[in-house]
Amino acid sequence: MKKYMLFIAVICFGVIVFTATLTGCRKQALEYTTTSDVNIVDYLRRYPELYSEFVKVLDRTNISPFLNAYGAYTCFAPTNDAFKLYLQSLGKNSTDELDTAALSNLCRLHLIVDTISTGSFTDGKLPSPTMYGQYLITGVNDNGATVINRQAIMVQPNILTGNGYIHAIDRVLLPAALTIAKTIEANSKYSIFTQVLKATGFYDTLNIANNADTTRRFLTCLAESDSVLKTIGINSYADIVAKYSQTGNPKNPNDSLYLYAAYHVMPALKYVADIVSSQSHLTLAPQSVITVSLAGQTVLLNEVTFRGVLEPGIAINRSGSDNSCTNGVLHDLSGSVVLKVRQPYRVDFDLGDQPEIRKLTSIYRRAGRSQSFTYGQLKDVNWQREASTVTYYVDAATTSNHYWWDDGFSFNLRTAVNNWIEFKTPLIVKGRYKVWMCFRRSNMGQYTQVSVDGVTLPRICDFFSNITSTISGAALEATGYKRYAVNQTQNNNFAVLAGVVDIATTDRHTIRLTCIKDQGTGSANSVTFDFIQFIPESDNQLRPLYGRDGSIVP
Amino acid sequence: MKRTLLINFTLLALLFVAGTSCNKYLELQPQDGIIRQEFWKTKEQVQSAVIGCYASLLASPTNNRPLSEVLFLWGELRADMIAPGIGITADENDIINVNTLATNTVANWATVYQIINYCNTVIDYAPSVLANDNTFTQQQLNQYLAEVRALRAMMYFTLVKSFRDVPLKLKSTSSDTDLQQLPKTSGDSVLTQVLAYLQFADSNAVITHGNTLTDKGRINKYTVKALLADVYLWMEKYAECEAACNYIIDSKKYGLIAGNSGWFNNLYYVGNSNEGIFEFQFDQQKLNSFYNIFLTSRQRFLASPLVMEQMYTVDYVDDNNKDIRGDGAAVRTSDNAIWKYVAVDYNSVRAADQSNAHWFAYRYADILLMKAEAINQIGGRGSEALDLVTTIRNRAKALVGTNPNPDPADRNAVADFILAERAREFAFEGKRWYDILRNAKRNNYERLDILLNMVSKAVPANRQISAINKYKDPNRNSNYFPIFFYEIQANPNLVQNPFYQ
Repeated sequence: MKKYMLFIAVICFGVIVFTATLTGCRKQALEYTTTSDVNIVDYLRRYPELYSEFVKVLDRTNISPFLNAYGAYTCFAPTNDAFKLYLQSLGKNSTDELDTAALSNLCRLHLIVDTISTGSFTDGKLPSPTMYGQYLITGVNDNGATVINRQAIMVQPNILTGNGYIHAIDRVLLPAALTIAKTIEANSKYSIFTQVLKATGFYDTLNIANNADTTRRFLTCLAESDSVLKTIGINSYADIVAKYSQTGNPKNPNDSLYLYAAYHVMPALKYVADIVSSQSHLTLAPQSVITVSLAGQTVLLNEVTFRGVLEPGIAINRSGSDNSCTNGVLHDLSGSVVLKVRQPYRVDFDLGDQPEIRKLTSIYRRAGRSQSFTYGQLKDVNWQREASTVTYYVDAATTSNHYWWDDGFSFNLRTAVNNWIEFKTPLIVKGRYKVWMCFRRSNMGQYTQVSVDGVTLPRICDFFSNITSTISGAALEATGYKRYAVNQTQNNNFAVLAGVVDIATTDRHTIRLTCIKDQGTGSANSVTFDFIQFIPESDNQLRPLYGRDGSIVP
Repeated sequence: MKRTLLINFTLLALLFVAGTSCNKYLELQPQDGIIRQEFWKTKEQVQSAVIGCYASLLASPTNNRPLSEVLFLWGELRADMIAPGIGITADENDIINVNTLATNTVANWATVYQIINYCNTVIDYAPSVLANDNTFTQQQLNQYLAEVRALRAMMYFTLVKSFRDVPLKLKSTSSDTDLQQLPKTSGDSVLTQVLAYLQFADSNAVITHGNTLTDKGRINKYTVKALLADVYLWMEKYAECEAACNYIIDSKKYGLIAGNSGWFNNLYYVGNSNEGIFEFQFDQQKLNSFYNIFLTSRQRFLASPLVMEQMYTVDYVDDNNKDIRGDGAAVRTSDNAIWKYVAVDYNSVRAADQSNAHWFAYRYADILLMKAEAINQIGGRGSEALDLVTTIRNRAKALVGTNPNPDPADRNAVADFILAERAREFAFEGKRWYDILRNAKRNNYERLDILLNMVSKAVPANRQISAINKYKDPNRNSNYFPIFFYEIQANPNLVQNPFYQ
């Protein structure tokens, strides 16, 4: 019996061990990698029917190793059909026949060290340059397809791999071959413009072919075709010399033809989409800007209202523009943009006259009304502390204040409350101006520093102390003060001279008031401002006078 | 013997234990809810299920985006009346930039299909109650079915307007075995179905539910007519649209709220006014999601500056001369906040726990303007259409500058005027994009220029040309949403809209 039990026990043990061996000892499949996502080149290798040619080229130019390592890349991958078309255009049968260095440059034009999905595509250049150094531009054609560099159509966007994005394209992208100067010269419609560039020396400026491996110095050129020049009566190079070149030497930087050419070249790389994104752009003409506005889809240059007169703008011919060159981009104008000589003239900048406030018709210049604004609500006013607010207010007709238009603009100016505030001015013509701060005396802002475009003005303004009531006119002006109101006997609304400023460009500028030392204790008090005057240095500083009803008395 | 006895007792004990415990631990029914087999017994249960469908308009039990927010995003993001605020999400910004990808969560239709499933459930199971509850009549059943069928039609209509071709799911999903992987049905076929449901609802819906609250919050015959008018207008069946509008107008049960000092309060703040036809009934128990979207320091959307500058316009000379729908109603002009859903009146805002402004599916003003649009398209009745627009404009004290005085015989000019008036009247009510698309696609995209002009103003300047070109080829569905990528992964029978492939 015992033996029998033992036998059963042995069998049981055997069965258990056998089952355990069968099940337990099997090797478990453990995942040792954190992801099964492949990197860019491995992804391309997976689809040889689409990308075998591209992979072959990447391997040969030794780009595959780093493109398959970790990093952040964007790869525009031409398909095999794209390479077939490319080789056909060169008359070759295989990429083996091509020079390795040239192929390497070609590949680098397809790679960006950044992850860029189609969400970042605009009408202009991509945010980062290619490894070749040239920027790629994007766009959408009439069929709604995304176009890269005006050369290839994107066939599959946004393939996300372990180290970046792949965008499949149907043509090989070709680097720009010519400089801006050569591109203009090659196009017969720019024959007069080419001669102007050569005569003024800007042809050479626009002809510096940068190396791909050094930092590039990009330029943007706005070219005017012969037909455009014909509309303003210029039919030949001789005509344009006769019209502009007053010194007879176009290479002289003071010659108007030189300035004409300089005004058509902008430093930095600016595609049309970049041009519309900013209000003004510097040119190579000293201290001269081109201003930009957008009317519908038309980009207008230099459309400004100057002294109340609207000067119509010149449109960029969008379809003929955005031509990539090795050292920049070339645009085509549909009219002639000229540099205008403008004499400095006075600007009375009413701080309350902001576009957002103007729209509040029930408040703007309505007696007794006021409105506070928080940070970000006024696009042309910016201040240090987000929590601080500014107030636009209009006096009731019964007050004893003498604001121009009866309206003022108040804000805090105290180190701990709001250290500075800055305003974007209206258009100021370049020149030298005296800056007068016109305000209502209050318990704040005794030590205020004024700066224009970051240049500090010499005098510390005091928005607190009394004016000397016994003197007036030129004697008062000599002390740096003046009464600007029509009522010349009151001593609360007056102006203090902040200094003389050199306005370098005809543009909208930034004026900033900074508190450099706290005054008193009243943190809730605010500076109550009326307007800021920019008066040309040589003009009469005391007249005209400004009335509560908005009148200006000469 | 002793041993046998012991065994017997043990067995007996086991039997007891087994006999008592079984119905506890083998219980499979949930103990904190009611299962379908025990529901659908009485007419009260049918009623609560129907009310449940309406409740799903206010919020989703599974925390999908609330329908009112979905309708706002779908109706306004692609149009020209909103601007991005500080708190806007990347997905929303992409849609404003006309950069929609299939991964964009705004294009997720889950909220809408969830409501469709609730409706389907009622439609599938409510008829079985007839057998269990003798006090439940066929007529009552049909009235309930009219409501949910109309609601389902409304959901499918929204989907067709947004995606064009969508899967048509007409059976409820109550268990895993009901899951279906449906292919897309063409937009036109879905609309034919939608019309069929609405015609059923038209002949079965009640004239009134008995009180104002339920008449504005539940579907009655007039709601069905309003829906029919909208669907007919979309399908370019103008005579039918006019008939549906006339039914509502001739009933004399609705009117415009006078444009006096109480206008905003009656129409928007309190809601359920004489002008409302169908409103989502947010109240203090169920708040809408708009407070955080429009009012906090991280507001997601602002009104575009164009809304005041070009749509309502401003009289710079006389501040009392203003369109009552603009400053202080649709927009707070001092900071361009979208004001309609968060305001108490011109100056004050709702508290966060008072954010219960209704969502307006249809208002009487909509009926008048739909009729105007339809009869203008019928032709030869331009001046009659303009009279209707004038009624709306006079109520709102619209500024003279916004009246282009079109020639009544010039069909396109009148259509443009009606479209612009709809923008003013229904600002931020989730209708703008669909209005533009409906006018642009009419007669096989005869007026594509409306869409292109709109988008050129709405997108940032550096993306303008790309955006225009994307909309230029309407045959690839570029002006409809992509199907959300998750749906494509889950259902291999779905094919992405061609523009997004």
